[in-house]
Amino acid sequence: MGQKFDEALLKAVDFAFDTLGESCRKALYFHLRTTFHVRKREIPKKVGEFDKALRLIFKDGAVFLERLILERLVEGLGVEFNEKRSLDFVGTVLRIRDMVWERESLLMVSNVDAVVVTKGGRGGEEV
Amino acid sequence: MKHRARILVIDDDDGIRKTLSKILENRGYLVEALENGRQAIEASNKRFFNVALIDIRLSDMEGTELLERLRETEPKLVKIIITGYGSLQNAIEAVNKGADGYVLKPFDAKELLAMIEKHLKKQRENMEYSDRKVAKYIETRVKQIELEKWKERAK
Repeated sequence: MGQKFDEALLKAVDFAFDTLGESCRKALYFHLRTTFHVRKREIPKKVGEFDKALRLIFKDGAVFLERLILERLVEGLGVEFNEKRSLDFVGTVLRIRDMVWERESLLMVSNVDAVVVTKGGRGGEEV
Repeated sequence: MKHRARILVIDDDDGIRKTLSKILENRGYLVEALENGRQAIEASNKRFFNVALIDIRLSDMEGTELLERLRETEPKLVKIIITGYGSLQNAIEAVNKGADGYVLKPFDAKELLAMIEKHLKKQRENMEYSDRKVAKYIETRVKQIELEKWKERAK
């Protein structure tokens, strides 16, 4: 179920790194893997380590990259994020992930309901 | 694969939008033609554009106001003002407010394309320079981090 979220996060990270330029993007993925032990595909599962690495590399400047990632993530997933609480990068990513999971769960439930109604309506199959 | 530059055309005249789009697309650029400033700001928030061609008079704001707002959201964007009011005053005001150049209507397609290409070349060089500088910073910073880790372990 988290595949859509993971893909959107990876795309958002790619987008943010791309704004720095091709060499920077490659250097960042390389050092994330070799120095910080976070492979690109592992970023959704290692958001904390990813955040820590960016903050170690860019110090206060990491905020700008992380803000770009969050903006792109929200846009890519089509979620409205109006959190009242003040959250850091990791907290925000996890909250957005939960929102997507909740939305997908609701969709799955409503799809099941739709199937039940359809089957009942045709009268051909006991549910 | 060669990167295709993205150009934003903002003009409330449908004829100008179509003409400019055709000229620019024929040259291989990706064009998004919009009729007002609000749409332009929304578009520039969504994706990176290399160049914006902005009519000095728009239906919802002055072209010079749009210049300033686009400069805030996308400082690297090349902004060229299109003006039918070819006074020196308009051109000076536009350049003072952050325009990289201006063209007078009716415009010469060859001159316009030459101006765009000149700015794109400069933009590319600036971006490459900034890419190299940041990549160098990343390398240096990672070496420092590794050294700090090594010192911690050695304690």
